[in-house]
Amino acid sequence: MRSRLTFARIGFLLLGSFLLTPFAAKTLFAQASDQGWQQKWDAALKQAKTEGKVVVMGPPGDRIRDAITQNFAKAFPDIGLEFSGARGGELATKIKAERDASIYSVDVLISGTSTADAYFKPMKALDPIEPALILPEVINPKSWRDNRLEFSDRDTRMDLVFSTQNNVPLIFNPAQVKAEEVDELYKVLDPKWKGKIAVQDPIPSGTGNGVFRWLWHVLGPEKAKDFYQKLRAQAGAIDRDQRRQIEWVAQGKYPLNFAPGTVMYQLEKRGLKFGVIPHFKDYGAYLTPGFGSAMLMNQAPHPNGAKVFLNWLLGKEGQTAFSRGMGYVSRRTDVSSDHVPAYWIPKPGVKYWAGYYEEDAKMSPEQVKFLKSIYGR
Amino acid sequence: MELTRRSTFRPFQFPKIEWSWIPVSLFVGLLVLLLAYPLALLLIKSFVISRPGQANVWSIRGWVEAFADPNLALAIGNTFYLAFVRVVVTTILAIFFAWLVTRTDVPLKGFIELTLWLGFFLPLLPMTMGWIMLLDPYNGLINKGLMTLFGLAKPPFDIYSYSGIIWCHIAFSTSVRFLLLTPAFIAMDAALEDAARASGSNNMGVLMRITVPILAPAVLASTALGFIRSLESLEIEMVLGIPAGIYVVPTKIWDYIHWEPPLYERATALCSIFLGFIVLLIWLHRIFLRGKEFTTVSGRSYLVRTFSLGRWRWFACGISLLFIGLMIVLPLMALMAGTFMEFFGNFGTEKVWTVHHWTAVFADPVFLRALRNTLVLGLGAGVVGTLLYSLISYIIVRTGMAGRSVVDILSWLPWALPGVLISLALLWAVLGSGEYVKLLYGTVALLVLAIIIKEMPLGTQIIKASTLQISNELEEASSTAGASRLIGFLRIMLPLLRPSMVAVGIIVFISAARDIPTVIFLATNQSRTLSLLMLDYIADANQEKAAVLGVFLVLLIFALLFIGWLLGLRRSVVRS
Repeated sequence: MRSRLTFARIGFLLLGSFLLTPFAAKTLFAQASDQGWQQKWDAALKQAKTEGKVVVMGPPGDRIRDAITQNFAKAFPDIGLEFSGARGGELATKIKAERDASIYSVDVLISGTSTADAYFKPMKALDPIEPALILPEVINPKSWRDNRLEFSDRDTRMDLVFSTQNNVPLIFNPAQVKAEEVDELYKVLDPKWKGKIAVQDPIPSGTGNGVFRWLWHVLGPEKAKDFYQKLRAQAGAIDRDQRRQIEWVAQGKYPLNFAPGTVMYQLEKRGLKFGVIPHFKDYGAYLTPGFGSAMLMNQAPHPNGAKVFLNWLLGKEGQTAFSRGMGYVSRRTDVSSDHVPAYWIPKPGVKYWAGYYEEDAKMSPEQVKFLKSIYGR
Repeated sequence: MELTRRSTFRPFQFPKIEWSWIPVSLFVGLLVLLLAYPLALLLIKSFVISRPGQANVWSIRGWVEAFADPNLALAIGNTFYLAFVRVVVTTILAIFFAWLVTRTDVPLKGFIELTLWLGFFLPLLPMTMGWIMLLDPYNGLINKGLMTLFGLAKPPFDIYSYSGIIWCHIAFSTSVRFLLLTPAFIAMDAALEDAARASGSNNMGVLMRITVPILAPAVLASTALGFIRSLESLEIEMVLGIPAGIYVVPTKIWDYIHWEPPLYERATALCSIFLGFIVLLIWLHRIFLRGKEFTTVSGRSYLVRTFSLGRWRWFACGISLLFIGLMIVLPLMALMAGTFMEFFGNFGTEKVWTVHHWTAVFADPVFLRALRNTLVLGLGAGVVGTLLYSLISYIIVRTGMAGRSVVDILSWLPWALPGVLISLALLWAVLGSGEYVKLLYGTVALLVLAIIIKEMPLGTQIIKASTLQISNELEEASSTAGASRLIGFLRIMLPLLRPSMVAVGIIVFISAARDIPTVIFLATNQSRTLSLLMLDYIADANQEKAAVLGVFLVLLIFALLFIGWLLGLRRSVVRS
C-alpha cells in the first residue's frame, strides 16, 4: 500500500514537474533576459555618456530638428545631440565624400525610405539596425502595428520604418468646390476643372512622385499613361513649390491641388483653410513614412550614443515626441494619434498601397520617360 | 695664349633672380591651386554618371543629355534676353545715380546714397515676396486697388512675367552697380570735367564724353560683372518664372542639382555655357583695355568737386526719390508688413497679424550660434577676401611676372559656377587633399574660403578697375625714395584703393551672411550659419520666419556700418 502511494506520489511529482517545466523555464529565461537587456542598456548608456554625443542627420526643417534635439536633451541631458538637416541627395553626396576620405562623422540617419534605398544601401554605409535595439518596449513586436518591426528593405532590414500615414491626393477650396464633386479619381478630369488644377510636379522625388507612382500601380501602365496625359491637359499650373500651391487653393486662385505636399499640415495649423480629399472613393490612396525611417550608419563614431538615441527614438517617449513634432502617425501601438490630423490617419476599409518598400520605391524607366515627355520642362 | 683663354672663358651664370618675386610666385601658385584644383575635380567628375555611393562609371552621357534637352535653346534665349535688358536698364540708372551723388550738387544726396545702399542690403527673395504681395494678378494689393479705382476688368500688372522678373531685379541690380561705380566716380579728377566745361560742354555732354569714357574700366568691369550675375540669377526666376513657364539656364541647373539623385554632371555641363561666355567677355575686355590709359589719380593733387545742376537740381532729386520710393521703400514696407503677417500677403486668414515669427526666430535654440558663425564668416571673408583681391589685382595690373594672365583668367572662373557646385568642388578638394587639409572640414574657416572663392570675380575686377585708375608714378616716387615694393603697396596703393575695398568688403560680408548654396556641403552642425537656419525655415514652408532673418541681417549690417562710421570709415575720411 505504502509503496503504491509512494509510486503514485512520485508519478504525480514527475508529471507535475513535466507540466511545469516550460513555465518555469520561461520565467527563468525571462528573468535572465530582463537582466540581459538591462545590463546591455546600462552599459550602452554608460559608454554613451563617455562618448559624449551622438550625431544624427536628417531632412532640413526646424520642426524635425526641435522635435528630436529638445526632447532627447530632456531625456538624456548628459549626451549631446548634434542634428544637421539636408535633402537626401545632398546628405548622400556629403557622406560619400566624407567616407572616401575615411571620415566617419554620422551615427544615425532619419529620412524618407528612398534615401536609404537609393543611396546608403548601395554605398554600403549601413549596419543592420536590430542589433542596436535593446529596450524590450522597442524590440517587442507587439509594440508595433501588424505585430512587427517594419522595414522598407524587408530582406536586409536596415531601414526601419517607424511611421506611416495616409498621403492626401487632393485638396480643394471649399468655397468653390464641393467634396463630392472630386471624391473619385476620374472626377478630377471633368472638363469643368480645366485650367483650375495646380498639380505638384511628379518628376522629382516627393509627394508628386509618390502619387504618380501609386497611380501607375493601381491603374496599370496604360490607364496610368492616359490619366497622366489628361491630367496634364487639365492642369492650370505644374509647380514644385508645395506651400505656394496650397496657398493658391486657400485663396481661391486654383480651386484644386493634385498631390499637395505634406507641408499642408503646418499651413493648416497656422490657419490656412482648405478642404481635403483624404482618399479617392474608387482607388483609395497610398501610405508613406514621410521622413519616418531610421538607419544606423556603419563605423559610427559614437556607437553607444547611436544605440541610446535609436532606443529613445523608437520607444514610446521618442515616438510621441516625433509624432507630435511632425504630425506623423507612429507605427507604435501605444502612441496616441490624437494630435495627428484626421486625414493622415489610415481608415479601415480603404484601399491603401504601401509604396515605400524597396522594390516599389522608384519609378520604372518607362514611367519616367513618359512623365518627362509630358511634364518635363 | 693664357690671356686669350682667359678672355674667352665665360663662367656659367645663373639667371638673375629677383628675390622679391619668390613670395609672389608662391602666392600665385597657391592661388592657382586654390581655384584650378577644385574646378578641375568638378570637371573630371562631370564624366562620372553613377549615383553617390556606387562604383564610378565614366561616360560623356551627362554632357550629351544636358545639351540634347529640347527646351535648352529656349532657356538660353530667355537667360540672355533677361540679362541683356536688366544690364542695359541698370547700367543707365547706376551711372546716373553715381554721377548725381558724387559729381553734382543734387539736394538730399546723402539720403539718396544711403537708400541706394539699402537697396543692395535688402534680401532678394523676401523682397520678391513683397512685390508678389503688391502685384500678384490674382490678389496683389496694387492690382486690386487699381481695378477698384478705375473699374478695370483685368489686373493691369502681372508679376509672373518677363517684365515682372526684370522689375524685381532693378532695385538690387541698380544698387549693386551703384555701389561698384561710386568709388571710381569719387576718384576722378574734376580738372578733366572742368576742361570740358571750359570748352563749352554742358553737364550731359561732360557725363557722356568725359566722365563715362574715363571711367570705362570701372563701367566695363561693373557691366561685365552685372551681366554675368544676371545670367546666373536664380531666386527671382524660380519664384516668378516657373509659374509663368519661363525657364532660364540657372533654373535648369537647379533642377539637375535638386534631382534625386542629383545630376551634377549635367549641371556642370550646363555651366560650360557660362564659362564660354566668360572667356569671350575676358577677351573683349582685354581688347578694349589694350594700350589705353585710364589713370585719373596721379602724382599731382586731384580735384573732387561737385558741379551745379542749376534748375535741374530738384528735378534730378525728384527722379531719384521716385525711384527710391517705388523700387526700394514700397516693397520694403510690404516686406516689413509681411513679417508681421501669419501668411505673407494673405489677408483672408482668421488671424492676419502676429509677432510670432519674430519671437520664434529669436527663441530658436540655434540662433545665437548661427549668428556668431555668420559674423565670423562675414567678417573673415570680408576682410581676408578684400585683402586677397587687392593683392591679386595688384599682381595682375602692376607686375610683369609670368603667370599673371593665368591668375587674371582664373579670377573670373568662380562665376561660371553656381555656388552649390563651388561648395561641392571644395568638399571634394579638401577631403581629398591629405590629413592636414582635411582639418579644415567642419570649420568656419572653410566657409570663409568658399565665400572668398565665390566672390573673387567681383572683388578682383572692381579693385582691378580702381587700380587701373591709379598712376604708376606714385609708386615710382615711393621706389625712388627707397621704399620697397611691399611698402609701396601698403602705404600708397591700399589707402588709394580704400573706397573700392570698403565697398567690396561690404558686398562680400553680405554675400557671406546670405549665401546658402556655397556653404551647403561645407557647413556642419557646429558651423551652421543664419543662411542655413533660413533654409530650415523654408523647408518647413515658413517663409515668414526666413524673411524675419533676412530683415534682421539688414539691421545687423546697418549696425555694423554705423560702428564702422563711428570708427572713421565715413566716406569723407575714405576719400582723403
